[in-house]
Amino acid sequence: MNASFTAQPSPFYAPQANEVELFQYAFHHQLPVLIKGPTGCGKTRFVRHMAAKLHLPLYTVACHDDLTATDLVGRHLLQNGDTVWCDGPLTRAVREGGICYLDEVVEARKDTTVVLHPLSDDRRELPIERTGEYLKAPDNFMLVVSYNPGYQNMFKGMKPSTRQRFVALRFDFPKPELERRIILQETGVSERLAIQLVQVAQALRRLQDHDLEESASTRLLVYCASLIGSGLPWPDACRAALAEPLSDDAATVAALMDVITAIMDA
Amino acid sequence: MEETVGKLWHTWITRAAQTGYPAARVELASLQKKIALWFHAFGGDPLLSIKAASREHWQAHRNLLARIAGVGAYGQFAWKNGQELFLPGAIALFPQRELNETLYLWLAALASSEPVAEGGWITRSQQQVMRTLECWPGLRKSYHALVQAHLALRPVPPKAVLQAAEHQIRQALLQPGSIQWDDIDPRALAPVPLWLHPLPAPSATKDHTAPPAIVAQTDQVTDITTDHRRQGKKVDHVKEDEGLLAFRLESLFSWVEFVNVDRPQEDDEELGAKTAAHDLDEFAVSKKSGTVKQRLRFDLDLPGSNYEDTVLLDGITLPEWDYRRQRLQPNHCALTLLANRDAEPMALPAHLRSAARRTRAFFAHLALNRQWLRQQPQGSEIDWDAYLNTMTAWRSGQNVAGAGLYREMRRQQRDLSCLLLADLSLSTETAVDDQYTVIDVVRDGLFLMSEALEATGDRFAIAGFSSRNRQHIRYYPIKHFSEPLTPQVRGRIQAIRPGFYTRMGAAIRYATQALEQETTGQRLLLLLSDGKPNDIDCYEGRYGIEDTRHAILTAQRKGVVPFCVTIDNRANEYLPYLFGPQHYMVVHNAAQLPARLPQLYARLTDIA
Repeated sequence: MNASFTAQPSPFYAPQANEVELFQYAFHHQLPVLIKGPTGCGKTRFVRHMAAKLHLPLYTVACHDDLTATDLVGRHLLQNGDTVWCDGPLTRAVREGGICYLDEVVEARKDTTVVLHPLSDDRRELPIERTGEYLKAPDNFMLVVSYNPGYQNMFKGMKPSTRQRFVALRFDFPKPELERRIILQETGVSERLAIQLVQVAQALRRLQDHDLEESASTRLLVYCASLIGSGLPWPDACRAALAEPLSDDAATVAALMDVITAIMDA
Repeated sequence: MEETVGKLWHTWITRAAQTGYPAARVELASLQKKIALWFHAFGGDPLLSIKAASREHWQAHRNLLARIAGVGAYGQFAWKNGQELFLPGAIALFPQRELNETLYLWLAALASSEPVAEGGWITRSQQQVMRTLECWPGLRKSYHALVQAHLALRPVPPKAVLQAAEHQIRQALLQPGSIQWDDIDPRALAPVPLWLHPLPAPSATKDHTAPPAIVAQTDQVTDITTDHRRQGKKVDHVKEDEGLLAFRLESLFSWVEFVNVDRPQEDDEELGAKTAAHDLDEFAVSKKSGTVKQRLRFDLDLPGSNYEDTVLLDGITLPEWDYRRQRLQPNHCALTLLANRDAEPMALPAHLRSAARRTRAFFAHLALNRQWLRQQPQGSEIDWDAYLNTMTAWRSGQNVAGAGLYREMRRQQRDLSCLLLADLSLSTETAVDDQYTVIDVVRDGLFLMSEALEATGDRFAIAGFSSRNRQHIRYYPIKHFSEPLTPQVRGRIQAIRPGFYTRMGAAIRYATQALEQETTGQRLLLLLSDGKPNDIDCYEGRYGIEDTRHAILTAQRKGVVPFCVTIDNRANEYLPYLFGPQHYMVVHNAAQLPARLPQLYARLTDIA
């Protein structure tokens, strides 16, 4: 199980628009939130930040294609010859209050929707079939799910009926000025390097859908800046943290490095 | 004898006078992918297609040898318009291969910036260079390396007047922005390959499609193997014997060399026109009456008639949706199953083998994607969930049969059938680039897809279609679901060829029927298309779109998932309506279709 409960000091998060306020409104009105956006744009960081801000425990579940409703709700375990019920992350969040964050929710198996539906509408209930319990979610329980709509998959995707139960936020990569601040804040590199890296990101993002499947994320930029900040020469850092992660094709990587050089080699 | 001597002389003198370094030559075609990536990353419009620029006449001073040989009088320049980016077809200017390639990188960066509209050629070029260097400071080194190498090779003109101008150009290259002098005819000096086209920027002129005096040439010469484009020019055909305007029912476009000698009317048509086309730098197009090209027109309209194909099954009737009356017209269309007679069993074409090997390996690896199966009667691990359930039930006094208590890692069972339906209408004859037409790309796509599908173990079928009217819908079954991928199937893929029109609705309906007989849980109809539905008998515009949409909706209701892959750049106008927002993909660069298809399939059906 990939659930984790975190109560840390508020991690840095620079808002892109009004998402912080929206999230707070949603929390106060007991509405579930859906976050969509490309990989590495700050979805998980945002949820962690909001949990800390609202003083809520956060239960994160990284969904995968073998994740079933049982994994979310809980199961019986054997203890001293007896069976003992053990709550899953979702049940624990409902019992104790807090944010239950299902990352990449479309990856989870179809049967998870059965438990998510009654929780995400105004009933806010979690039926536990195995123990016959019917849990009513407290006011400080919040369901948050996220996924990346960029991947097209015909047989997997959020069902419109599920999607419709959420307040939806769309994330994108931050604007250049904001992204520069994020890099500075996260890595403490020089202003000039941050500006150059943002320019690189702008150039590489133009390639999405035409030349690359995915484009350089803010996360990759931060990785790259950290590598350069710790003394690695920029060509090596950019190759390792920007060009190579974006493509497996050697010619494409070489061309990406040409573009990166056109900005960095000043 | 004379001819042989002439040929030898030509070879010798051309070689003797040749400038440039053929050994270090880099070609646009081989760098196309890289250049496209550079151009897009530098901010160039991703919808522009990249093509070889036309060879232009250039009256710069040449040495005696060059003049005798007739070489060096041409220049190829980079420029762009609303649809295309033109770059030299090959660069062999510098002795180092890397430097020649760097010139492409430089031109891609230079062309990606917005054109400077004001000032003369030198001022504009300097500004553009400055702007590019400012945006991409990392290019400074490359630029200076190119300038040094170019200056070393630039000829010094003999005339004093031109020498002054040459000095200015050199200075402008070395220190962009330092020269405020435009009083020069660019053609008087050697071309500057580091700058864009010397004529006024396209956006500054009335004609948005091309710089002055150059009208983009049409597809007709793409079959001539060449690394440069020819200029085209529109002229009025001079008909000396005709003073009155007659009503010309059949006015046709044809290619003529504008000395008022009609090439098409020469005896040796095929060869003559082709050689003439190769020797000409400029084509004149005129509208003229005549029947000479009619044969060709008919060939285009009616490629391969029925006798070439074997009829497998005739008289399959299908309904069609009439949106005006909002009703389905039963038995409106007749579909014929055809097999191509020239299909010979064959192995995979050589140029696809390495790609096919990669694709197969990729999919074979993915197909190994294994999964834990629960509640198995035997397996490698205990299924604790099942065990606990059984134990709790047993302790509470229920009668438990010895159900499966184990977990087993097994190959994931894919429960999917896919039908690949290719549009084989005449429009697939359009050229994609100098080498390939759409049909070639579709063919390669089918080859690679069949390899990929075979590796996944999914049940799949392949078919192609075209139509001539509602009575003649031509459906070519290339592979049935239960048929293995044999050399015969490959032969049928090889034999596909363009013909007629696109009655999409009927083809989709028939394909849906085939998919309906499949018992798998998931059924995918993958349509490869290059344009809108259309046919001659009113099947166009809204009627065609609405009928196709109806066919798609019906397919969806029957549990078939339709998905469309198209290379039509304007598909965004109608495909969302036809297939729904997430159910289509536009491949902007058609040449990439064969590579993209298997990737798309992996993503669609979730094995990646």
